[in-house]
Amino acid sequence: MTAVPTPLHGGDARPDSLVLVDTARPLMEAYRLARDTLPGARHPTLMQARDRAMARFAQAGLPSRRDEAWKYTDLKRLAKLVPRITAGDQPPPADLDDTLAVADESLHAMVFVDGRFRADLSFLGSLPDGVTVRPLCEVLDEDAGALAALLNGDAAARDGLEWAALALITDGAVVDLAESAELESPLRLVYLFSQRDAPVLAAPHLAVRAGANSTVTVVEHWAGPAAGDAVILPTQSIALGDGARVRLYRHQEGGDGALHVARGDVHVARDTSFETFALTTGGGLVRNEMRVAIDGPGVDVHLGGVYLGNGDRHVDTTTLVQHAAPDGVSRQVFRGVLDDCAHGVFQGRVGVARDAQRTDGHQLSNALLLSPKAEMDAKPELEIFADDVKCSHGATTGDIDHNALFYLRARGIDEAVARGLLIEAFIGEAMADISDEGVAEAFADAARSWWHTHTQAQTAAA
Amino acid sequence: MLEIKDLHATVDGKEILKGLTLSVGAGEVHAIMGPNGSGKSTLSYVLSGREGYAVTGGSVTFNGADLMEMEPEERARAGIFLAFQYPVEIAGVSMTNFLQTAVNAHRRARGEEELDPLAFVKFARAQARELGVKDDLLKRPVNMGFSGGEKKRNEILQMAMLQPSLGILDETDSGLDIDALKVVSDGVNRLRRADRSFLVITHYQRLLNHIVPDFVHILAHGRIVRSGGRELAEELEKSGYAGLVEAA
Repeated sequence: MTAVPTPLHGGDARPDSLVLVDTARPLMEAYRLARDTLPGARHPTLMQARDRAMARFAQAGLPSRRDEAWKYTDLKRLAKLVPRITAGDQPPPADLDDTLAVADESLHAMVFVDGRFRADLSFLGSLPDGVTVRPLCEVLDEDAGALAALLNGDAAARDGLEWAALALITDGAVVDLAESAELESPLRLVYLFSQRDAPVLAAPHLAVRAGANSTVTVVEHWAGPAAGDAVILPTQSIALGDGARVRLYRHQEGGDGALHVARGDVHVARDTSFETFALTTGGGLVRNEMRVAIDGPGVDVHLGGVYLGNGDRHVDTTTLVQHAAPDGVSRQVFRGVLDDCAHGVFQGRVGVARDAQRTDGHQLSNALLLSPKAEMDAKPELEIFADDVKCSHGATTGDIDHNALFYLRARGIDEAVARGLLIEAFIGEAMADISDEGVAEAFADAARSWWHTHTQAQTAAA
Repeated sequence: MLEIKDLHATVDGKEILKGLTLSVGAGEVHAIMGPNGSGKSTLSYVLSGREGYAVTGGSVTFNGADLMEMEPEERARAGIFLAFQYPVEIAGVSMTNFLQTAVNAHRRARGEEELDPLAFVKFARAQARELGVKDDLLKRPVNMGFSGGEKKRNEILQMAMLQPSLGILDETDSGLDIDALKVVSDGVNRLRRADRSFLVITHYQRLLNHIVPDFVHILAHGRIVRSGGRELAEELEKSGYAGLVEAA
């Protein structure tokens, strides 16, 4: 057993007198217990890198609301949980077939249980030339350095929780596309969770390395857990070579026990097209954070999302789009519907460097509050250093249109159905940006089904 | 069919209807005329159940049922149709989706089988053709970008599809040129039946040249101050509201 970076139960304090922040304890302990079962455990250099990342977390602790980037999202709930990494070897939930029912014959699906890859549940079929899709554990067996760049990054660039998420990487998917390679049907990544007494901790990583002029669509489905707590800390590193086209979709569902903080880092080169969309219909505390670095000219970047919140759920969307090269287009459209005491957050930042002339950057956040106790915080920001740019941002928060609602009801449509139609229309404007038809349809169905379940629960409670 | 007795209603705490009494029999067309602020639109909204209109006294029964106890959608399914003075634009909801949902809500309430999308589109197209409405209108979002005339025609199209037993036309003539007025009136006249009544609410007499009423009532200060046959509308045209309202 290799040394753990910091003492957990007093005693052998390390010479560099690390300050262990209290909020770091539970995740440190989870790491200590599972460390030797993590992918790449037999490579000392990799494990040292993990240890260092964990030490950075130990020093920083969990971000608090005093940190500007976490002003609206409180991680107190996370600090109270004592989660555990599992081996992911539980039998899959009985409804796995339903989860995969979205797929058709040309299915490429990787299934993860508690953030661990499950070969027995996955089927990758035959992949076209130049496309490789592998679980991270397998990649690390061959090349322990695969995570080195990620784990040895600049300490200041990440907050404590992100360092923890990287140190804890429980497994993941590694997608490589050679030049001009193309994966026609989407690659599906299905994340399932087992039901346990202790909260599950999962930190899967997704790496996409898209070579020049390659094309791929990845659809993440986060299913659950339906009951019980889970701490889900996914990370992504996505790199698009010149002319590559990558679409990345995410649907998060499941019970209120899920605490889901996802971090994505995207680098796009010349003439690339990157599209991402997150549909959030479940999870107690969700943060989708995406950072896009536009490194080459002529790119087209679309970030979008729809979040539907009820109960006391909290959904945070945080984006950073940094235009470092000229002639780039970035478009962000996020729409949320919040009922009961749900809380939505949008923090969006578009940066335009001095050389990024003729940048076209748009950012829009619209939220519909269905209840007087629902809450929305929106903070769109522009930081522009170039002089020839077209940038705009906007944020609105409002109530459902009562004139429209009455008009529909006056035609004999039940109030809940009428509200559903108006909500569908409202989120439809964001959904319209999803270019994959199958995903657009599946997401529209999922949103409708959220509304249906939500209103039925409300009726039952009334 | 519709019995309104001593109806009092307030908006924002201000009493607008002050003891309105009106009886509409099956198949009858009643015109309600009145100056601005007399309570015409309030009457249409109270009957259709709009939020914010509080009934503080009196009663309204519709085919024997207490209308004031019903939600707006229940009233609609019971056979009341309000043709809006200002039809609402709804982005993102297609006419087809909206109408299919409405028609099927009515069919369910009547215990009939719902129309599937194909059957519905066939039905909707036939209705549109009959009323001289272009069917590309069915593909557009509800009232979005419709001209004033198209909006009013769209109201009549919806009425034709929902087959109410009482149609309330709230200033349907407002903002219409004479040609559009004629198209809309023809649509209404085509829907007249022995078991379908109309309440035609209007400021001007001109609509009543096209939709000829059986009875005309003058509404002023929240009450019916005079009732008569169609000749009352003609008298009004000559003397104006001032003479009639003051005489009452």
